Amino acid sequence: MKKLFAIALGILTAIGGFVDIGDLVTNGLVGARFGLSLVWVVLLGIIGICVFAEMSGRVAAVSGRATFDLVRERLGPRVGLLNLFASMAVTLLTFIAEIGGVALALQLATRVNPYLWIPVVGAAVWIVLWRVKFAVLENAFGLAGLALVVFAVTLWKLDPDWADLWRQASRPFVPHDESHTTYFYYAVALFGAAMTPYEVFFFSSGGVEEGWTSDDLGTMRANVFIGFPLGGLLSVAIAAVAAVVYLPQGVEVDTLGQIGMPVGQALGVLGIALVLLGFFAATFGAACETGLSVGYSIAQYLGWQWGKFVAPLKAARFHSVVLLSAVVAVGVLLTTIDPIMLTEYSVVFSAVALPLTYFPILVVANDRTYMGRDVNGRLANTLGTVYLVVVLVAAVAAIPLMIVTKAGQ
Amino acid sequence: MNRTRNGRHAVESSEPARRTGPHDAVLRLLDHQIVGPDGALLGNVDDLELVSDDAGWLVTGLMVGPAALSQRLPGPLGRWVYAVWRRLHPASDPTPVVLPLAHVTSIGSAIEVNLAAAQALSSTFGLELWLREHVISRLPGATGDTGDTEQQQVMSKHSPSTAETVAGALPLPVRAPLEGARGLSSLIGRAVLAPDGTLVGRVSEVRCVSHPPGHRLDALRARWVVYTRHLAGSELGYSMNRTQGPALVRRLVRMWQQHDRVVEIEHVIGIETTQGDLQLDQTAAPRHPHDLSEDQGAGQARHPPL
Repeated sequence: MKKLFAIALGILTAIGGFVDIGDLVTNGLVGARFGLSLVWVVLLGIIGICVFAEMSGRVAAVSGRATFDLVRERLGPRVGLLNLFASMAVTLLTFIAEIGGVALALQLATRVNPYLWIPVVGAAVWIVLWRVKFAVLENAFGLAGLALVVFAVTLWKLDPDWADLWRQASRPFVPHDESHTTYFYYAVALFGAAMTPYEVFFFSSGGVEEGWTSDDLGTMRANVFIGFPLGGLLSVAIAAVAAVVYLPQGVEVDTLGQIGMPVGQALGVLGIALVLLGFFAATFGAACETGLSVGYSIAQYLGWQWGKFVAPLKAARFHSVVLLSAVVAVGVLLTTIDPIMLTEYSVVFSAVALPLTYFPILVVANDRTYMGRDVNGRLANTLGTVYLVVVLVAAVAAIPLMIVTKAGQ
Repeated sequence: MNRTRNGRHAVESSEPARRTGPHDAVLRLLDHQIVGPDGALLGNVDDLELVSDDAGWLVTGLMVGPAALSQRLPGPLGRWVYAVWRRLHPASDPTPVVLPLAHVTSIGSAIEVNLAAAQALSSTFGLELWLREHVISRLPGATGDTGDTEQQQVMSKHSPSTAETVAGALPLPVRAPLEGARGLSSLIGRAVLAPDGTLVGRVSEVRCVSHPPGHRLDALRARWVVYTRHLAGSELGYSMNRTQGPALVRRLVRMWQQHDRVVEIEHVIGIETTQGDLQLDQTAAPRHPHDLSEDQGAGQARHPPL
């Protein structure tokens, strides 16, 4: 019974924790511009993150080594360092965007200027990372993030032309007023939003934090294979709501308020309360995950003691990195840079950086001296190889598409 | 729980052969996480200490810390890391930190070391100690038994006076590099020439066996040198293991590394110098690493191909 509860809790937090500022913004924006014609990319990304997270979670559980530990070991210190710089740049960018997202969510709730919220949010995120237990952090924000289910309820309340939505989703087409390059630019962005490198840094390091062993593989797989796809459905619901409300009017979506507004219209005050709670939990939870991921990756590359499973004084370098990144994030946001724009860039650069960590994990998941009988089986390797090609294509295409489309203009 | 948290290793414990069988120094030791008996993370293997004896070359210790790592980073960055480390180090003439191999208790996905080694190593982490004292401990809510008292006991037992510590003495069993020792990394990447002087590759791996043979791991004797035309990807493990999947990657990497060769270290001329090209002698018989692995039954044959 207790075990069942633990599995259920894990699945629920995986659902609620799946969506972050990147998913919110990209899905809202794409839904309003392209309808559901890009849903196939979200599905591709969800399966991809399942494959990637399952491999890295399994490696962490069986060998006790988290992602960046293995990156340096298999790529050497030089390539590993380049990899660290690239991955950290993207993760820090995402961290900044998440903190900005929390501030925007709080602005929606309170009408207080976000620039007043940014330092408060930065401090709050750091305090949570400094003091709150890992399990509490993961569960609290994951569960609160479930409030985003209101998007699914809203879609049902809006009572759209389901046949038309199905047609958009099942027969992808490029809308006549959009170019093919823009379409594929946003395809890469959606893919990067679903398959963000930090999710895997956090997932595998979290496995070590929670002391997973090979006995926990079942629980881990339940979280990944049930929780992530259901969380991904929330992304689809966000895109569908935006498609139903904004696509016919040709409205450009570029604020968090626009993304949440249809919920308020359909469900009233309760809907507004829940959507704001969902926004807050999703961005705040992801801010914690990205903040920790920065510390995890740098510490793992250098072999430092890391993690919240030891007392802070035993991991002084790790906590110093986390503190420093929170300060940097607040500093960057106070330059009045637009968090939504940051988010749009962060998801594209996520797609660029993804192969750097995907490839070493795929290799190590095949190393019998580490994995014993838990090496990749036929299915994991087939999917793993297919996705190696997919992430490479997305990574190579991202920058040229960004230049050609002027970042999706 | 703590013991298993970071020190797990999948197959090693049920396979005593790993202690005596061949060890690929780059693939299985270099850049691996060092873990204490209680699961504490104690740095990476930043380099390996290589010394010569009458019979050839021995790997005698793990080199840990910025001094060792800086030698492996590209040009200006490496020099800069080294200079910063030297400037900030409390000792007037700091030496790189070496942990003798005898204190390694197991080699798996992590390198596990014994308690004395763990305590000594953690007292060499200057940045950690400084940040702990000057930053983290001053924050409200900083908790944790840092193990300082145990460390001091260990230190006072082994190092007679604080003056000596300041002068740069390292707490036993950690020590400075041996006389004439150098990093294994000084071999990696060196050009290898055929007897006729044509370039055949660069050193990518040094394969070792236990020395003395048996279960106690005092040192590793370097027996074979692997060289490759493409250093990129040489640490992925495919040239040592012919069955490691997935099939597409295996095939591509094998094509990329088809000119990898392994030779006995006696047949390599020029290792005693720290730079310059290496040359194979006339009697060297280079083979592909896979052929060597099969002769030795180095663990691959047991597993059926995927």
